[in-house]
Amino acid sequence: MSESRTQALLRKMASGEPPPQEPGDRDRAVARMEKTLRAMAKERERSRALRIGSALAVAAAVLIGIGVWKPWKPAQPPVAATAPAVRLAAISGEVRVNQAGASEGNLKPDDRVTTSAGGHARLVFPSGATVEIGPSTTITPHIQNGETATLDLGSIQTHVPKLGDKGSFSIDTPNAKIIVHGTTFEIEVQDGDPRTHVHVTEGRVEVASGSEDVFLSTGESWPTPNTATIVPSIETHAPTVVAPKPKASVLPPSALAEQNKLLQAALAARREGRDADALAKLDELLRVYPNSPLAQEAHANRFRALEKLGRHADAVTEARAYLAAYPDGFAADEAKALVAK
Amino acid sequence: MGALRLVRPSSEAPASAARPTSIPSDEELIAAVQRHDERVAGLLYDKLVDTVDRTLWRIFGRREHDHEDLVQSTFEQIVLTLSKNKFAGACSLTTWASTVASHVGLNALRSRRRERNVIDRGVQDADRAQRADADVQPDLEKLRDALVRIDPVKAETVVLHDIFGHELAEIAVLMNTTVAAAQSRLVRGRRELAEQLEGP
Repeated sequence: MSESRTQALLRKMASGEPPPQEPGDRDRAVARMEKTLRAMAKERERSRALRIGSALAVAAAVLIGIGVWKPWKPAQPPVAATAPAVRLAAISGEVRVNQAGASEGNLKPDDRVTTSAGGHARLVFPSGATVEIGPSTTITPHIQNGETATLDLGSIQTHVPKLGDKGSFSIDTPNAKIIVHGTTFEIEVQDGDPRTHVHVTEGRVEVASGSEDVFLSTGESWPTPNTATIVPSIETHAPTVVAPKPKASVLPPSALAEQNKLLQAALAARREGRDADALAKLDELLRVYPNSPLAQEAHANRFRALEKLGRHADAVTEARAYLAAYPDGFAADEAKALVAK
Repeated sequence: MGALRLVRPSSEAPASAARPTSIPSDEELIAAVQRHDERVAGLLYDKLVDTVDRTLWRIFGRREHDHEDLVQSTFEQIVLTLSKNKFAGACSLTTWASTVASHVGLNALRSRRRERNVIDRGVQDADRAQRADADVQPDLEKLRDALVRIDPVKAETVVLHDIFGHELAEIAVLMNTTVAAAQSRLVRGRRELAEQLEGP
């Protein structure tokens, strides 16, 4: 199908207005937004508390440091450590902790667990959250500012019980952070692109990657299949594009880059109200690259600039030329309106 | 910036009477979301719901059975992004909301097309007949299929430009990229779309 037919279909998709909306479920939508705002407010409070806690810890460290200078006192008998720990369990096959053979029991902070090709194990966090570690996986659990684990490579299946307001559980991968609030999900980290795959079996998780934040519900995956890209941000961010290259390029990249530059300069000039400069750039683009894939944009912007400059007759001529070349183009309605003016 | 006046609807009053008499500006709404002021939710919904509804309607060709869920997901993303102060503020909230909705819509369309393989064909045909654009079926269906098969970034660029009429400079801002990159994505996206539509 030709590009002009494609354009016609796109315009058809763009046309029409939706029928009047039945009263939507406003209350439910608003309640969900309020819940998100509450969760964000709690998160902010938690961060604030952590910052205060960190400041107190620093202050305590300073006081302890000062205490070192005080006269020596007989040592007190050591108090047994009661800090919560992550437990390694259900070991099968070859599993190592910091390169040494592993045994079931509590892990020390920053212990790294690695499974071989046939190895499996389970991490049990104090909250009751469990992480089933698959073969050929490297993972490091932490209990610091909530329960977390760093998954460098491999696959895990995680089950997290309801944590309440104070608990948090997250998994860090090389390119994403998966934040959980009571759910079952799978994560796989590969060497290729995209590195991290998340699938939610039950519940809801938040995936943060770059400046992208996505909520996944039961049955949903991230990134979406057929996607070799981290999808662009819902807000605004530069996507990490790792998509396959197009099959064929009409023009060498340098030529396309030059055309992009000319159109970009023309658009910038139009935005700044320098329509005469814009026109000059557009003319140059169309003269040097008459078959440019950006020609349609150039012609559309040309009749806009001419009209803005008060050259109505020229603008109409250009709009007619545009309609002849692109009867179904994206600016066809605008061109028709100009001709009819 | 003026203070945001928030009006909570009274349970007895009709919906129209519950709306605030003065409409808060984009800046006031954004500031309220960033303060995590729950009362802003209704105002934000009322301001943006028509845009979100229309965008999703265009992407699917009708209001699907889970239309309300998609509307809610869109608003959740809007609140999340605004509250994390990640909205660049380089365009109006309405323009930006249509981008969020088209992103949510395209993702849903993509996942729906994957599920289609296991859905009864007869149900699908009945569904299609109800669409607002049934007269130009199956071409628009093919277009939607093609849109979800091409690279998502390029698909979104084509949708924002050719369906929702955003200019390249605006798309560059919305997608936090350069105008040159947006142009390149548009050109390549259109080409990939045409190639997909030519295929079997």
